[in-house]
Amino acid sequence: MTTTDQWIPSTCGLCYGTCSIRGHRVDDVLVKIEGNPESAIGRGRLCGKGVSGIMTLYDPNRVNVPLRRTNPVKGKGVDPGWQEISWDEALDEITARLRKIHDDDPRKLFIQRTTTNTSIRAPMMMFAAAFGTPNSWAAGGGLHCGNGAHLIGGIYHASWSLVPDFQHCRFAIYFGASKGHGAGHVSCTNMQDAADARARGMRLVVVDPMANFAAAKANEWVPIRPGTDAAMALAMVNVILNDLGVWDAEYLAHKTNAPYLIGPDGCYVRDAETRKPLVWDAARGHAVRYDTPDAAALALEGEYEVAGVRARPAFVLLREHVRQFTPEWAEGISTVSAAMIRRLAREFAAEAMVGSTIVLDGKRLPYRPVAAIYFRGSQGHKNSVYNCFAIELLNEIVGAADVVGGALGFNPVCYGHPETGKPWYEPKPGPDGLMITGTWVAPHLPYPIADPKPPTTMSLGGLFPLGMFGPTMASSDQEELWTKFGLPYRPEMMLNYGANSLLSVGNSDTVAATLARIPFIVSFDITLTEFSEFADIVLPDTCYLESLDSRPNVPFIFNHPAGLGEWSWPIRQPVVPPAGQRRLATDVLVELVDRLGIREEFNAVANTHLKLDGSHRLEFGTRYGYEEICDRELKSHFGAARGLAWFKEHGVISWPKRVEEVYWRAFLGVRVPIYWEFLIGLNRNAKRIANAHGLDWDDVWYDPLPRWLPCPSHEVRDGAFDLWGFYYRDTLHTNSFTNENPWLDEASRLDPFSYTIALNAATGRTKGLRDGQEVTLESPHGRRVRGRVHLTETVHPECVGIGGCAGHWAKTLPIAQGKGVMFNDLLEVDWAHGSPVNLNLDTCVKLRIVP
Amino acid sequence: MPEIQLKLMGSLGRLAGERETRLLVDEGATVRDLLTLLAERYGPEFAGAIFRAPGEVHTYLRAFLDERDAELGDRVAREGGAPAAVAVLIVPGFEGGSR
Amino acid sequence: MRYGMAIDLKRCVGCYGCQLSCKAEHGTPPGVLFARVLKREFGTFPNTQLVYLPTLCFHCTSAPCVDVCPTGASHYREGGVVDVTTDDCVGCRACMQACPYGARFFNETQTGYFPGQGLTPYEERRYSKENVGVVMKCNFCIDRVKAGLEPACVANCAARARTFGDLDDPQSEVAQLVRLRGGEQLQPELGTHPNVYYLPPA
Repeated sequence: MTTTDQWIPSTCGLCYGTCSIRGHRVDDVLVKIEGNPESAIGRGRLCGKGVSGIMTLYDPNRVNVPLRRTNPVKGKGVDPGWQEISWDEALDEITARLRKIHDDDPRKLFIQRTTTNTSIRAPMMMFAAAFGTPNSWAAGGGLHCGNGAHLIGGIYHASWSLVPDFQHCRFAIYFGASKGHGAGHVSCTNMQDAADARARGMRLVVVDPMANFAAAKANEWVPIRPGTDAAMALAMVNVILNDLGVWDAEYLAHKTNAPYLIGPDGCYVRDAETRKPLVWDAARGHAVRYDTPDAAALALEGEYEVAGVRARPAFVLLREHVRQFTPEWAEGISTVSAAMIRRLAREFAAEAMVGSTIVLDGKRLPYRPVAAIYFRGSQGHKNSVYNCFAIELLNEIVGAADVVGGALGFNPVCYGHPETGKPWYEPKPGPDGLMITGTWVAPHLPYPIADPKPPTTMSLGGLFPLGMFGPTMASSDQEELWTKFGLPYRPEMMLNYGANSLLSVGNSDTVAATLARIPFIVSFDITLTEFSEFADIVLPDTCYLESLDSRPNVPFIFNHPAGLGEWSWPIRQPVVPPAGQRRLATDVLVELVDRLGIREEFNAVANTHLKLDGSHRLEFGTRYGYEEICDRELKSHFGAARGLAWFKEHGVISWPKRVEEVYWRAFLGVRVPIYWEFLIGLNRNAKRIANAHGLDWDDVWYDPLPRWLPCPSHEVRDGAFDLWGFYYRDTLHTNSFTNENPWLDEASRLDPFSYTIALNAATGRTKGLRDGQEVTLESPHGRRVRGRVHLTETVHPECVGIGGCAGHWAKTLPIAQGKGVMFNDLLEVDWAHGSPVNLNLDTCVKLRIVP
Repeated sequence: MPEIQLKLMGSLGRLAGERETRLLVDEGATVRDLLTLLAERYGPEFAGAIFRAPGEVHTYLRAFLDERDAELGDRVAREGGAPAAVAVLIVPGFEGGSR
Repeated sequence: MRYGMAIDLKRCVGCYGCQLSCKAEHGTPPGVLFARVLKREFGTFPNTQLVYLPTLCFHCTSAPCVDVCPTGASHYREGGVVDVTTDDCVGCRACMQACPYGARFFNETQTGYFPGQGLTPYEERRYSKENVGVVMKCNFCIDRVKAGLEPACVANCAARARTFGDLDDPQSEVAQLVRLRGGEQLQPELGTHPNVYYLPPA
């Protein structure tokens, strides 16, 4: 017998970073996973998760056949009584139910997916659009991590997230972010780039309640009370603008709406004819439209009589607005000392080197080697919009956005492969000259925002056009709110891909009650989870090592490395063939499309979404398998010779990035808002609709300029609840998915933090606790979780930090069962804990320790 | 007046109450004119799905003329021959979904 | 020729890539971890630092584990690499007592990572009966090194914190790093002369 020995290029699927890998297959067995050195995504190196995927592939607890429940009773811990059925039986029943819903009201289909595996995002969204349901979400995904951070990333950087320009930045300040420290989008390349930046001498200050990961590698850790980032950032903005008098006038005048004239009503003063906002041209001595080509002396200061009203540039309003946010005021809220805030503001302003330039590739470019980076920590709050907005203002006022050394969006501009010019996208000016992203990921663009209207979706999104996903998809008060707004339907069926929403959203009792009300649930899964207890049919999915996808790192704004270097477009392909009756979920979706007779719709969506071109477009009436669609997408971008066959052999195509792509800000005529004038009209219109439906409204969330607003946890008056609880991303795990991997579990059991409750050592001693002691944490709402405390110096004395999303109880996950702590079980999921502007869920909670 | 063959895809078919219809349009009518016509024909909820704000078409609305991408200013009617096939679809604003 | 490693504590971010790529490379059974990531706290709040400390066998020049081995199974091989000849190991575990760094592991039984569920196809292929009842340890991936590759933990380190090479060659990258960055051995006072050096975190 001959042995076959192959290295097969593919893509990791253990987090949404999706680094490029090579699987070593000997005969039919996968014996090793390594990074693919030919790809910029990971550059041949992987984190602990990435090399451990073998144990996910070969988990004996994988589902191998379609299953149907026999027990009609659904509940946590209730055995569904699984019965094996054939694929045909499963798809016949699913098709019949989907067809009935499609004919009746497609909105009754609720689509849910995980964020762990990126390959399902596009197919699921395409299926939802073709089917005609707007009710689709990424379970806890958007609620926790993205409604604010990604929205602000989109508005200011035309990108999903941002990083410091690791190659040129000299001073970065992270607010609840860990880019470059072992997890998340682009984790492996960022680890290398961040390590290079440290070696080069980039100063890193990390503002965070806990000194792990990023803060562990920082030059300075600034412990902060959870949910108060906006207070500190606004005080820094105040010091920079009003005490130091530092700002980048050139950038503000031409790249933001800082010069736009604001009338007494807070709105833009507009040109009577074109309705375009006006700016004051000091050279002409009168107001002109913001896009007047030769207007070079746009005023940022002063007060002017324009069109019969007194008007001031937005920048004046910003400077005046932030005067109230003194460092002393911020200290009282955030616990960060006023002296520290002043010093950091001074350092940030000085290091920005406003006015300096650098020559790269023969082009003189602005050089602003500072970056303020926000992510999950600062964003995971009711006030996520203003937290991120306030921090972003630090970049904006000194002009450190997408210029050399500054805060870079992940790849907002791409001019394509040199041979084909594809993929191609760039931001463009939208209404009032403000930037529209060139490409995006979520269901609606960050800007322009739609007029609010009476909500007709489960998430109430129509009324909250800034939100991406809303808690009412799984909240305790969803029925009350849907009734209030007269939602004309209820979810009748859920199609779930891999999400374990029992663990990922909030407390599991609330989520369980919402799932139990959905009459029929179909779930694509690789194992049975806590979620499966609510499913009616489970379909055996291929795991990432058995899967095909032409676009694991597309769009590049999501999980492709930022900064100079190379572009890489890899594919995912099976490293081993699927075992049992497992089927690629995307193939099953395409089959459902045909069974349902929505092929024309699906093909139309695919042409648009995948940007299929020329002869590679899908004809509306023709059936294509998923492989064929992948092939056409690759050929559309890289030419007829580079289809799926080429990519299966080569794994990845790479080409160099251009200075104009990475440091695009100087080259493109788009502006971003330092003053969110559009919130005024949004507030007025949304409030009218809300009030008409009996929903209380508070204007404070809709001010065009940011302020610190308390989380519900800041308003708990009962002193017995003396700790703030938060969770953090553990580098060993992604969501709740990887807890079942025994290699990662073994590492977690040996790690002092992974499965424990981190408590400040002095606080613990005051409470008479010893390291390793088992305790119960209790919320003011009576939610409880149990776990072992780890006494540490690395956490704020007022806080407890819990890693990851563990605490599984399903017997079908024997490795994960009973390990770690499910922080989310402490969280309320209801209107009061969501943001009334972007629907973000608050993820910090007041707690007390009960022995 | 020239005739077109209209297909309302995805959620638009539900909002309109019909997925396919034949429609008479003005000589020289553009995609934008057609959308305005459809908004009047099918009522405010349909209009709200097409227009982001009064007069402003949603960035994620896509129109196809004989299966090709159409811009808002493109003329929908064909000179002579069979009626042009016009399909209108909402592709949520992700990746290629925005105009 | 003296193989050695420099581990840059400034670059390491504690991602566990070394610990787990080592496991994947060698197919080590549960509880056997040639490479580890330890976390150590220094200082008191708020002037505290959490240091990620990746460890492995230090391939000491005066290795107490080799000294105490009654059968000669533990031995030095090319480049000073400390290794165990499985056939000669009687499983007395004296070497484990002698090693001050906890770098040796006794593999008691042939159990897999899914207890009670048999071995996975990977484990079937990678586990070897010869490894049961004997001591296992890191050998600097000597087979990889002989094939011109870096040790697995080095090749995979995303933060590029690990550098491997010949410490006897003053021009080698590893020797230069140790010299220029002030590399330090762990517990040099024990007189074991480890060939793994740590570059300072700050």
